[in-house]
Amino acid sequence: MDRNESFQSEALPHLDAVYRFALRLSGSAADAEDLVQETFLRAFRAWDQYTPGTRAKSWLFTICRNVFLRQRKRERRREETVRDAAAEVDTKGLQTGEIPVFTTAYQYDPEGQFFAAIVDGGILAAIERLPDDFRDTVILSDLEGLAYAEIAELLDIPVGTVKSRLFRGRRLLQQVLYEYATDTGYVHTNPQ
Amino acid sequence: MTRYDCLQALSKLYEYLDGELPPDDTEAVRHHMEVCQGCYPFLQFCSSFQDALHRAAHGQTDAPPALRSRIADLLQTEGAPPAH
Ligand SMILES: [Zn+2]
Repeated sequence: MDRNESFQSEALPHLDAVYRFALRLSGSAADAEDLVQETFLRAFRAWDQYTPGTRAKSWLFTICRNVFLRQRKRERRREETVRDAAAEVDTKGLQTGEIPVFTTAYQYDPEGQFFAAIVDGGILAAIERLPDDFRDTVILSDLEGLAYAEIAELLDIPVGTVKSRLFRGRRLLQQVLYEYATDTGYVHTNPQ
Repeated sequence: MTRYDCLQALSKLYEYLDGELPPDDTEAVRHHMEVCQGCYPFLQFCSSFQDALHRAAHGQTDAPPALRSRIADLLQTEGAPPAH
């Protein structure tokens, strides 16, 4: 397979995911498009440095993030301050005996069947409502399928922080989804 | 063989579901979930939760078609052998 073909088959399928990632970083569709274009151009030029069979998606995300950071050097100082503040909360890690689920929802429906009744749009909207750090980690893991180590590298945080953000972020998401399901009538909290 | 108590198994539950545990710990969580009636429902609940997220992932925004074709053109120009 030549260079063009392998790029077509390994990198291009991630275009949608890279676009979503860029959209999240830049906050505007126009900026995201420029960012994605630049990302794929750089990726293509650096394709010889990519190890075939490794995870092209996280490699592309990393390039995208670097392009974004370079473009935004001026605002960087402010972003790092925010990130440091968030990281401080995380360093405590998980406490022994922390429960992985949102208890109220779990008690209501131990098999979690109500999750299946929530429409995709409702789930995606609920994820958007999570605090930024939890949201980004949950998206990269549960929606984009990245491994912990890939997320850690991308967000520049320790793997332990990825674990604790996922643990707590998911529990919080269960709470948001449960409330959504209650509001929209999928879940009836009063026994019939 | 590694054995887990309830606290250990539950604290590793997401790592287990995400396929992030080494074989020994994977086996320890799997075994605990098989034999412990108290913990098994947590596994089911979290699986249903993650199934719903994975399903919803397909409903995410896609890249605009115009961007897709612009990038295809760009790569074609970039990858074309230099004209003689
Ligand atoms: Zn147990």
